[in-house]
Amino acid sequence: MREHLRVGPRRLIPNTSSATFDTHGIDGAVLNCFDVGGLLSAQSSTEESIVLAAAYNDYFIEEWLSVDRRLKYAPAVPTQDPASSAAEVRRIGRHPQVVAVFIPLVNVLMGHRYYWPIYEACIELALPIYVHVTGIENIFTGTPTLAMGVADSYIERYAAVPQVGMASVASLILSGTLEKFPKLKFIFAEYGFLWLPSLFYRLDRTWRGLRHEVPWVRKAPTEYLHERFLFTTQPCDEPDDPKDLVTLISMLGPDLLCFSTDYPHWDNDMPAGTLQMLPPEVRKAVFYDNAARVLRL
Amino acid sequence: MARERQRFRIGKSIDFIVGSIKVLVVNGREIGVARLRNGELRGVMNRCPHKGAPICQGIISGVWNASAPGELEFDENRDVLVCPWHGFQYDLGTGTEVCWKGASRLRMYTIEEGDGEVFVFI
Repeated sequence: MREHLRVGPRRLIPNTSSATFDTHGIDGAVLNCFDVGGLLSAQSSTEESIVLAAAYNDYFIEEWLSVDRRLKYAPAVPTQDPASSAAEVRRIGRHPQVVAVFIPLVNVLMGHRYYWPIYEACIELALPIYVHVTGIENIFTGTPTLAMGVADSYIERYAAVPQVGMASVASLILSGTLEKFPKLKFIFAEYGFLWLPSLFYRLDRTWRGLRHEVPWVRKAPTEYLHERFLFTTQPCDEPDDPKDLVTLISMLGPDLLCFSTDYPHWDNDMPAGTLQMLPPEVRKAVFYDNAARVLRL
Repeated sequence: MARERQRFRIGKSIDFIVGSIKVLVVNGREIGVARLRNGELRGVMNRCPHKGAPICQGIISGVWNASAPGELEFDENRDVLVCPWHGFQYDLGTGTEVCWKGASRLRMYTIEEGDGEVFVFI
């Protein structure tokens, strides 16, 4: 049993991160605490979630960001209370190594005005919104629901989680929220990205015929996609032939993707082996330029 | 060298009423002729550039202008032809699709009106 545990991913702890950066030539990494996502969105009471968010954020700022300036952070907000979330953004959002704000999603579409106080605070501080799978979707009351009920297994739920990304992106565009907050940008982490062509071919075509329903959507959904969104690459849903992935990323446009590892989670993508088949200019966009453009660096 | 266009008489001015589109077969082609709110006539091929639908069976409407989120503002002064199949909208003044930036426009025919008679050039 002990031997089994030892073969898992080596934990990245604060005092080893500088060496990790140097060894692998990493200019910067954004930290995002996975555990707190579930805790804040549904596994605690609203009052508890406000205290927990502050505690987690203070811990990361004090214990991690002080180690190396290349460590960046996306602090979490207690989404159950948007006003307190906005206050938390204003409390710590000026820290120079805070580069985005992590909203653990609740079961409210992202275009809904429920989130507007958080968006307003992020606009004030020029911070993009970062959303990451919380891992408890469709398990606890109040988390984003997945289509047609509760899955029987983890694998089934894992495969269905991109639905949350799809619904969120469509909601942000069609609700007019992107027009209300014209400078706000969004990073979707771990929701996948190969569903984007299907969603946006449908959105563009349908908008051309049904835009009378949403006249505040002033341009084609695909235009908003490229101006306002970024999607992280892990878990990279790879076709058998790597060339097919190059084609798919070319269809999407390399400006939409940002490399991520999910390290040290069990399903992480290996930094040295992921997306190696991409042309150099696309790799540069995915591994550097896109993040530098969207994060508040 | 471009083929010289031919002129065909297609009716009297009073046959064409504001807000409706009249479909005629001229020299083997189906052409819809509509009178705009400003009194001008437009001739368009009866074929939607999107999927080839008989677009002249659609309605002529105004258009919902781009507005602030949650607000609705209807511009009834524009003449927009709405395809009966997928709802794509084309401005009859210019032939272009209302919102799409890509190449998508109605095939237009020049209309001439004088002395109470209406002609189309094909």
